[in-house]
Amino acid sequence: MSAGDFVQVHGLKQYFPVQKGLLVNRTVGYVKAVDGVSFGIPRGETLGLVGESGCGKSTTARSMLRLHEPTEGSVRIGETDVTRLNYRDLRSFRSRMQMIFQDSYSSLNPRHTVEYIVAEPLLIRGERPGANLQNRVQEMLQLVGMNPDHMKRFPHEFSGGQRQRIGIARALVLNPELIVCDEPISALDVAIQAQVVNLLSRLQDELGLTYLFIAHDLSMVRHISHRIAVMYLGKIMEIASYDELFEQPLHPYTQSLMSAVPITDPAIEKSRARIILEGDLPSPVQPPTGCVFSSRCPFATDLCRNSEPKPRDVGTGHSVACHHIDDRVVGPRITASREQIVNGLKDAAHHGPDRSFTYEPTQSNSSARSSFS
Amino acid sequence: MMRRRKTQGHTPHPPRSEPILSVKDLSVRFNTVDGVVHAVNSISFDLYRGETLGVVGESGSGKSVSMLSLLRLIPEPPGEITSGSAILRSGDESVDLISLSWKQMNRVRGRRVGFVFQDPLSSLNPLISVGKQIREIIERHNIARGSAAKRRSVDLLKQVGISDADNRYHSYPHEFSGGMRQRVMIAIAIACNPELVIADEPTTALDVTIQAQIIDLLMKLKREMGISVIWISHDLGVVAGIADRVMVMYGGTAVETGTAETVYRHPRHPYTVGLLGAIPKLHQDNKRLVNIKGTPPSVYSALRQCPFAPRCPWSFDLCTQQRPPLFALDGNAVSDSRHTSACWYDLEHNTRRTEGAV
Repeated sequence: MSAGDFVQVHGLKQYFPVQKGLLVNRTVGYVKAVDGVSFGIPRGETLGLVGESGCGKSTTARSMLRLHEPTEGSVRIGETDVTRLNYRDLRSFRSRMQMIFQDSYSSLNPRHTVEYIVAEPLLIRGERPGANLQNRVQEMLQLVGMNPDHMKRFPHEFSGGQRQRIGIARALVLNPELIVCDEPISALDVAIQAQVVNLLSRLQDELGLTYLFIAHDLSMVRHISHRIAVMYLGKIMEIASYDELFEQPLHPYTQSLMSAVPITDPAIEKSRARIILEGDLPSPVQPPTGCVFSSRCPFATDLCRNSEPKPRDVGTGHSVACHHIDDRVVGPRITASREQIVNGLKDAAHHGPDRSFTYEPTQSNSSARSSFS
Repeated sequence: MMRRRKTQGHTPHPPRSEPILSVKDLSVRFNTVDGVVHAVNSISFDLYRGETLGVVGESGSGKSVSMLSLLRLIPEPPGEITSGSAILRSGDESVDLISLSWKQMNRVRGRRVGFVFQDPLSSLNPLISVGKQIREIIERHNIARGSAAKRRSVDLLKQVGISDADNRYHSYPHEFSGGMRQRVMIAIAIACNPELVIADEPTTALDVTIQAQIIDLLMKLKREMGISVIWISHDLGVVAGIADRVMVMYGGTAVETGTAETVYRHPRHPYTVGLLGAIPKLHQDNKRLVNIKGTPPSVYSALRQCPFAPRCPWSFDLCTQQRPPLFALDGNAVSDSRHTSACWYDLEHNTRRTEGAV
C-alpha cells in the first residue's frame, strides 16, 4: 500500500458477537471474520481477493462499503474516510462505490423489469423518470453488451450470464469509481465466465474503473487482476502483483491454492506436484494460536504455533505473513515446493490444445471467424 | 503434505475384454407444460473395468440426466426414456438397466452401482445419524446385519478418512463440514463394493483445497477396490486429472469422445476447442479469453441440425441441414480407444465432410 493509492484499507476488523441465552443474551465470544486487513488499490487497477469460503473475503468487501459497520480500522476512498462518514454523507457517497453480487437470482428483484432495475439507483438519487432516464438505461445495456430492446423484460427471461450483465449495468449507472465484484462469475459456466471477465476488463479500460474482485479460485482472478491478495481465516497471507505471485508464491497457503487449480492437460495434471491440505478451515471463533494457517500448514513448527507472523515486505510490493520463508531449516523446503508447483503450471502453459478459435480455418467464411477471435 | 498424485491411467490400457457398461442410443425426454424437452439425444458409450470416464459439458447439456436415467433416477413422468439400452455386465451375467423392473432395479442401485451426488446436504437425511445412513444400505442389500453392519459402517468411515470414526458414527449431517459430508456420501456409495460408481459433480460445491482432498480420496478408493467410475463435471480441469477417457456433451448429444490425452491436446470438435480456450491458465500471457458467442441451444425442439452450429466459427450450410453423426478420427487416436467427433467440419485436415460416419 502506498500513500497515493485510490483505495486504502488500514487495519480493518469486523467481529461478529456470538450470543447465548434465552432471555438475556450474553456475548460469549466473537467471530473474527476480518482481523486486521490492510491493502491499497491504485486508481484504475484491480485487486483480486482470493481465499476459501469462510475466510472473510466477502465480509471485507461489505465492511469496506459499510454494509457492515466495521469494528475497527479505516477505509479511505479517494480523499474520503468512509468509516467516518455520517449517515447522510454516506448515502450520497455510495454512488461512487458500487457492488456486483454473486447470485444474480437473488440480487435482481424478480418483479421488476430490467429497465426499473437499472434505473432504480438513479431514482433513489432523486432523478425524475422520463425519456432521459430511459435513454440512460438503454445506453447502459448497450455498454454491457445487451439488447436495449429487452429492457421491458423480467430477470427470469434471461440466462445467468445475461442476468450478471444486468447486475453490472445497474452498478455502472451511477458512474461509480470503485466497483466491488463479489464472486460475480462463480455461479456461471466456464464459457460464460470468460464472457463476463472479458466484459469487466473492457469496461475497466473504457471507464477507468477501480475493482476489488473477489473469487475463490486463482485461475479467473489472474485474468483481471493487477495485484492479488490471498486471504485465510480473516487475515491476508500474501499480497503481490499477479505475475510476481504466480512466479514466486512464497506463502505455503498460496502454494497449496495454486496447486489445487485444475490444469486442462491430462499428462501434467496427473503427475504434477501438489500440496493437498488436510482437514477443514478452522473455526473463526477459536482460530489457531500463532499463525492462523499453522493447523493445516505442512511446514509448521512450534514457532508458528506460538507467535503470529507479521506481514513483511520482501520487495516490489510483495508482502507475505510467514515466519519461515527465508530461514535456514524450513525455508529451503518451502522454496523447493514452490519451484515444483510453479514448474508444473508453466509446463501446462506450453501444452495447449492444437486447435483454437483464433486458428485460421482454411475454408470457413471469414466474417464468422472474425467475430469469434 | 507434498505429494504427487499417483499416475493412474498411465499404465498402457489393459487388454480390453467386454465393457462392464455399454450404453447404446439412449434418449431421454421430459414432457412439460411448455413442451417436450429433448434432454438426451441418442448417446452411446462403453465403459471398461477399472476405467474412469469423464463426462463434461455445460449445465443443461444433458450430462446429469443421461447418467441419472441409467439408474432410472429421473422422475417418470414427466421424464421418459424413449429409446436405448444400457447393458451392465459382470462375469457371464448381464442386465439391461433400461428394461429392469422396479424391484430388480432396487437390487442394482447402491449394490452394483453407487452414486455420489453433487450436494451432500440435500442428499443426506438430516434426521438420521450418518452412521445409520451407511448401515441402512449395508442391511438393505444383505451384506451384513446388526453389530456386524455397524462395524462395517465404522470401517467405511475410517476408509473415507474420517477420524474418530467410532464417535462420528453417531453424528448428524449438520455437524459435518461440506467436505466431510461428501466423504460420508462416498462411504455410502462404496458400502456394498459396487462395480461402478457414478459421481455427479461431487466437488462442485466445495472449495478448491477440499476438492483436491475428495478427488484424491475417490481415486485412491477406485484403485484399491478396482471400481469403474463415471465422473460428471463441468470443469475440464478436474476431469483432466482423473479421467482415462472423456466424453464431451453439448445440447444433449455426445460431441466428442476419446482418451483424455487425445481430447485435451488434439480436440477435433469446435465446442471442445472453444471450451478449452475459455479456461484460463495460470502462466499464460493472453489477457483476453476465448469467447464462445451466444448461449446454449434451446432444448424444446428435436435435434435436426448440429446443436453447436449457431455458435461455431467453422459452420457451413450442411451443419444447419443435418445432424452430424459421430465420425471416427484416425491420426492422433490411441489405437484401441477411438477418438470420435460429431462435426461436419474435419478439423484434422481442415476440410468439409460429406460422408465417413461410423
